[in-house]
Amino acid sequence: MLTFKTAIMKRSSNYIFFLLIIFTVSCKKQLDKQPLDQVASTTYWQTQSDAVQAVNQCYGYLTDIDDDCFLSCATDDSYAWSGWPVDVPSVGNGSATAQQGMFDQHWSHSYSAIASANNVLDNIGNIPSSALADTLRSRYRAEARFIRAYYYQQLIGYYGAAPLIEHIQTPAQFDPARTSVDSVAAFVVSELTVIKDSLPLTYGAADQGRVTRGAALALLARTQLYQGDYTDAAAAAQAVMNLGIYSIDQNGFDNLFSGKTANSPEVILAGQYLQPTYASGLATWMGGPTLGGWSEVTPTEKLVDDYECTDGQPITTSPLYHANHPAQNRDPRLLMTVMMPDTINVVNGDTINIEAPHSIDGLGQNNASFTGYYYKKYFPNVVNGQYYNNSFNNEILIRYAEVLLTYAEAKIELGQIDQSVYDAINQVRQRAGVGQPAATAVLYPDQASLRTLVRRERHVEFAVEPQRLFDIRRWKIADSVMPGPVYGVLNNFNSSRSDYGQHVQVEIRAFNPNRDYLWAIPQNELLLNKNLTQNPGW
Amino acid sequence: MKFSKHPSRVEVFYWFLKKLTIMKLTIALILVFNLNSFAKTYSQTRITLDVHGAELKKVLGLIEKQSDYHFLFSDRRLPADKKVDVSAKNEDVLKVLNRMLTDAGFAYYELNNKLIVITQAGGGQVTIPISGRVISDKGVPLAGASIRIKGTNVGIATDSAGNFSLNVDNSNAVLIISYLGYQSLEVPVSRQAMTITLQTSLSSMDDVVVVGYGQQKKIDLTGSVASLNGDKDLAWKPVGQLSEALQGTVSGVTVTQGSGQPGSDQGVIRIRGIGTFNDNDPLVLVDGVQYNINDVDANDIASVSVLKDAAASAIYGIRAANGVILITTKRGSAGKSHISYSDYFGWQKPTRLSDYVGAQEYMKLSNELYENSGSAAIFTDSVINQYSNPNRDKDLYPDNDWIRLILLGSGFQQQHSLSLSGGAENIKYRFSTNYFDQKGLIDNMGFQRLTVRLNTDINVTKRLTFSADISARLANQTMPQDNGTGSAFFQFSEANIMNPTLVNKYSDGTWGIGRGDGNPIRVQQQGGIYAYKSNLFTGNFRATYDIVKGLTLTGLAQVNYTSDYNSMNTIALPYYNFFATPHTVLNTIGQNTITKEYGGAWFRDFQGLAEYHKEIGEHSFKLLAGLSSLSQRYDSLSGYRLNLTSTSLTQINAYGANGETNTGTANEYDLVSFFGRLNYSYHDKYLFEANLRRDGSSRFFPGQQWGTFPSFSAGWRISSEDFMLNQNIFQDLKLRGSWGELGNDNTLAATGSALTNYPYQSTYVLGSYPFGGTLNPTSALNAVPNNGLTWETTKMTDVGVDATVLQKHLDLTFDYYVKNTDNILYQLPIPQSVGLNASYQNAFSMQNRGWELSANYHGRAGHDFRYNVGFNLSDVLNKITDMRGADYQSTNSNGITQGWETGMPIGAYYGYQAQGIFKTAADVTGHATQPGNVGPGDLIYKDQNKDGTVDDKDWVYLGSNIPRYTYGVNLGAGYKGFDLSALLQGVGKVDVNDMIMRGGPTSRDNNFKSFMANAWTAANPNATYPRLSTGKQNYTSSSYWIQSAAYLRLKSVQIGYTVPAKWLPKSSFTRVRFYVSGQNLFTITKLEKDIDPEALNDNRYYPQVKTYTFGANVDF
Repeated sequence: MLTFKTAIMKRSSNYIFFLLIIFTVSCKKQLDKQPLDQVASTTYWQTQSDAVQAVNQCYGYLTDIDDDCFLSCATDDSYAWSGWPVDVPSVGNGSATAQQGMFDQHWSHSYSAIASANNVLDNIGNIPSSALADTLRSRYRAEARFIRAYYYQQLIGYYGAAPLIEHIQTPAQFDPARTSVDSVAAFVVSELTVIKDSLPLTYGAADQGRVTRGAALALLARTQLYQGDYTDAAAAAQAVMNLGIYSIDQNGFDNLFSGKTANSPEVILAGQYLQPTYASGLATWMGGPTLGGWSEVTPTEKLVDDYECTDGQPITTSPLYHANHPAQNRDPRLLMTVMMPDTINVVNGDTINIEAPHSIDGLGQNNASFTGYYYKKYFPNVVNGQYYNNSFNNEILIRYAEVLLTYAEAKIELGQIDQSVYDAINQVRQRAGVGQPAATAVLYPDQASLRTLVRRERHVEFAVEPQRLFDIRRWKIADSVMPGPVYGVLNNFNSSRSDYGQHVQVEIRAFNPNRDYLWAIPQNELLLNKNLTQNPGW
Repeated sequence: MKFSKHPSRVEVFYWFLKKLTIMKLTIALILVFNLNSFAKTYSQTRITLDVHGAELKKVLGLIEKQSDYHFLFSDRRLPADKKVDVSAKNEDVLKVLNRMLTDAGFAYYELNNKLIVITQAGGGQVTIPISGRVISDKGVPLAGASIRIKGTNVGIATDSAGNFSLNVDNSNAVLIISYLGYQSLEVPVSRQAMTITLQTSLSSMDDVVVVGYGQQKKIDLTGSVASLNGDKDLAWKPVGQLSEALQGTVSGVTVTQGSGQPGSDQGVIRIRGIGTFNDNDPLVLVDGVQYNINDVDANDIASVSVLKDAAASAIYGIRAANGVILITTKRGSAGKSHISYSDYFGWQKPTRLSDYVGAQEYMKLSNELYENSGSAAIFTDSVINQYSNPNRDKDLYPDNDWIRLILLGSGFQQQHSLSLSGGAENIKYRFSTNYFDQKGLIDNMGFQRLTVRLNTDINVTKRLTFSADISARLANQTMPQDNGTGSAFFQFSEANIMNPTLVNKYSDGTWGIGRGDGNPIRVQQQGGIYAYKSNLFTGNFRATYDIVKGLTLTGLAQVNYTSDYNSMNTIALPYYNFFATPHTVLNTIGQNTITKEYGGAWFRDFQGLAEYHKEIGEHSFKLLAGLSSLSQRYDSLSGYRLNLTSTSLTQINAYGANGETNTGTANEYDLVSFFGRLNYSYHDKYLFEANLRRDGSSRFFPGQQWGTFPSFSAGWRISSEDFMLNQNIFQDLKLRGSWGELGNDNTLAATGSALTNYPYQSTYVLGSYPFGGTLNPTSALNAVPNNGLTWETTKMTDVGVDATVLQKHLDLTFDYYVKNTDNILYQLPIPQSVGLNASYQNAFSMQNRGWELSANYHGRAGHDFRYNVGFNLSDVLNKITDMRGADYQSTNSNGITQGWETGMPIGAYYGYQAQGIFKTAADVTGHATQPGNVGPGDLIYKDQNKDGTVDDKDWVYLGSNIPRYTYGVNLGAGYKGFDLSALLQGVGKVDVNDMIMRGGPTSRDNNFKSFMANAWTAANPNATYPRLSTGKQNYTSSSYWIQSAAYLRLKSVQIGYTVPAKWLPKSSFTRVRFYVSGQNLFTITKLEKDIDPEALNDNRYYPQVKTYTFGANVDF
């Protein structure tokens, strides 16, 4: 019996021992688990497609119309009634704090784009030359460097001095100090100057949307203009004009933005959208209730008032202006930019008439515009899908009209006023379908009058595009155009409201000139990076 | 009690047999449930023996060893010196016995179960057959209760319906009836069928509790373990999710329920506080295998053990840092089949709803809001005055209370539960099924769940037992579509934002468009349905082999498969302009789309265990060694189409292919473990236990995958010491102490919700971007890599006392513990200028220090009234002990600032110290400059550093949202057929930032709660609520919004009546009970009355519900 027991035990322990061995051997492999839908960073950077995919990733940051369309609400052009999805109202009315989500969004978006470019630049050299041709490698590098430069140019516009980061950071480098605006701008200028020749003038059909030499030159001109380096700005703008491949669009100012003429020769760089898979929520933010939108970005009276009358005169001097019918006899771009009362606005087959009784777009209706105005410019010609991805029109980032007005402004500021200045301005204001009276040396004989003209031209031409925020800062006019009551439409149609007979007033804004010319460095960023300093007043 | 899986069952039996032969017994008793281990085999009926002049008793022992027969005899009648000669070679047992006993002057007869009773030859036997049934004080039949004849060891156990029958030799005999967890009872026999009711045991110290990989008597525990009984503590509550039923039952366990939405009303379980920045959910094991606690039907549960300290849970190593909950399901027992059925029907109502102003007040307050903010009034007096006219045109001047309008669901719920159990000696089964159907407060919103379980136990041979448990859970949660994501959130958030002047339906039936996003009521009734189906199939197979005495091997294979199939259908709903003739389409909201999502998760766990038990004198040793291999894999696939061809078809192929999209992914996880345990006790007085576990996790980089987790604990049963023999205060007193290490490899993904299986990996995430009208592939580096990552470690020290006093009426348990968690896995926030996501790091250290007290009193007044009171209270103090210099504060999108700072609780609230409200413009200019457009009526923030500017440097600590002084009071009482159970539960100290719940609107597209009519105005300068404003100056973190969320809630209450057995028709029902019960009936809290202290979210979320139910339990 004893032997029987022992035998069982012995046999069992043999089994156990055997099982243990199998088990242990299988463990090692069993515990090696790799992600099944992502590529480990250790095995990346081997092939040409690794390179091109990483470069393509950098472009993804250019499609940020969901945030960018709200930028105009931080200027005198637009009013946002809701703090969602972007808490821009407090930025517009001067009650923002350093914890503002909008400051955070643009900061983090810009640096994410910069890191994606740095990632390419740090690693693309690791791909063997057998796998990636040198010309292509240098073009990829140039594309990434352009996107990095683009975001540095944005950053200094928003925040002033900003950390200049040129490589993927190791933890020891996580707390960089800020680099002065001039140094960052100098970096942008030098980068663009270096890379422009590595970039092609144009691409084949499959690569539409990539960065071109024209884009590098145009961004160079913008950077130099914003820096007050007018000589170089004029030269860079002239270089774009000399390329001979860009021109003012002939198919209608409104079509340019709605998505109907995506590949217009006026477009130098645009963030690309694609129906139905690559979408934005633009129609929701800008449209009124009839268009299924939430009227978050709406024009103010100040913007409307800056459009000339058809005689080329501002409303303050033009005899054609009717205060009670402000849509009449105006620069046609007004009606292509703003849906005015007193006119028939048909957008994608829907009629928007805020004056009609019980109109869901009317004053005081839910989700309707507080100012009474709606933007027409940028409203997509196709709206389809969920509210956060219903729009497919490209986000134009740089276009030829800007190059022309940059050229004009730089020359005016330099005092080099010649016919080329008038020509540049007239190409814009006399574009097909607009045809405002030409600016001439008779009407605008000197630097001061031309400066007024070119600034007005930029204002009305680039309404809702991101330029206005940077313009009112560099022209130092924000402290005069921003504060005070914000007005909307003249309410001469709804007697049930207490503002009947007057312009609706949507808010009173404050502007602190000692603080508000720059946004705050995001509060959470300061808490994490002790080497950062806050902007004055925040 | 289920002994069939109990590893020490065989040991208990051998011990028992040994005693039989030593003790002065009359006739031995063997309980049926102890016999479960004896296989009825047919091989061991022949024996070989050759003894001469041997003691009869010893020979009987030898026969027992060779055969599967067992002998019962009286020592008195079988003298020790009786010697016999036997010679047999492969002969039938009975033949040998017959020969041997006849020679010696004895006779024998055979009982069931191969039991042989040895009597004196020629002794005439008197037999009086008696029978009866044993039930609990709640009328539940007790299966396996022991019936013993007093003064003898003759006895039997009840069958699964609680019935017994046996013969006595004396009409004056007295039966002793005993059952674990109940008080023993002595009853004189009667010739009529007897019904014997056992009262719940006074002291739980007699209980056996389930611990990791085994069971232990509660008095032998050295770790901190709380145990619950399925029927007594959990199944009586009319809740849909087991996690909810745990609330308030165990000290140190906090359960919070954030929502009352059918199918989303699971409780969040925290054992001893928040130990990590990551997943804090405890490990839940059902019959030894990982499970989602809410997938178990409470009616199937025999017992629940909560392992709270490291000593108790270290055997689970890397998965145990958040504590372990062990659930044991009920099993069948041999005997007559037993059928049990119960059901209930209930109605749910929201616990709290916000009280909003009507249309007229809304317009006045909107005007105030805008005038306060520099805009003009929006509504004229003439419009406002229209509302004074009850006969006004309601198409033009509607007045709707949306939050109450949307509650169109019946809130009806029902549950049906059926179980069938029984078996023979060699095979026992328990089948159960449960159907739960809960309708929501919203139409087309609900949850249905069907569970099925079959537990079987098979004695394959004498040494080999096998159990196969198979279960399935089919669940379906439905909700109406919304315009984006599909949830109850759309219904409640819209209803809480929509102002009273919005039309629901015009006079001719035309639907109002709501805020422009659609009308939630129409969406409820005419929209598409989002259906989330989740099916779970589990198989749990276990074989136990008794190799030799004391040594048992167990093999366990557990496989479960979860298959989720979600179908999200949205339907485009056109809205018409009521004022146009004919009505023109205003806007069509949404599209006709279908999304189908499939997710499949495989979980496999294979375990091998070896257990050895040895007693040497008063030294008792138990050894356990095991290994486990666990693997998980999840696959998902989804497809989307729009452009529907018919609204009644909801399959992918019923839609056009244009715009279709699909996504899919998979992930894996593997864990390999070795573990062991040693239990040693001396004299049952000095107890010691040591555990060791070694885990290898695939979540870490090779080289850092393996971790070792030890624990040690000791107990001293002071009450067993000689010097305690003469005292009468403590019936039991034990001191415990433990120390151990636990691990955690569960990390939350960057989103803060999902777990990630690849925390150390830095990968390229694939995506796309369009060039030239075609999508091109992209790949993005997702995070800064960190190859040094390893598991979190939690070290826990616990000292505890268990005492039973007041003649076993009161059980007391007290524990004090310190729990230090180091190397916490965390995506340490890094500056955004880095431009990449933070990688996981072993970043921080945290401490939880706390104590737990539980007291249970069982009392009785008179013969018929019995009652028990259970009280538990616990406290936990959380603080971050080391942030490696990376302390930070962060403000979320709601404007609420929380801090992660050394020495402070995790996620503590920070902000300004509010000092009242500015009354005049001079007050504003006289104070330090505050952010925003500040004016009279705004909150005054203290300039802490007196630098003249109120900014983030003036932030101070404002409070913590980690609950302290969590308590529960469990009450039970019975009088004759009536029974009462109640649970009161609450939190003594916790802070909440209620800004998003109590803060006012900042635009007209919102509604005002009634109390906002008392906001500050120039005419109401002493108001305590700041002025209404579109600015955010008052809606930033400040002490004004920090409130105490302490509360006391009557969580559950039930009154039942058991119909007396004499009223029931014989032979059909064995028990009939009816009851009424309620859940969340009342709450005491200082919070604003529309804030539920348990569900501290704003009322855009589905509210908590109170439930009234009626039910019945029937046994056949």
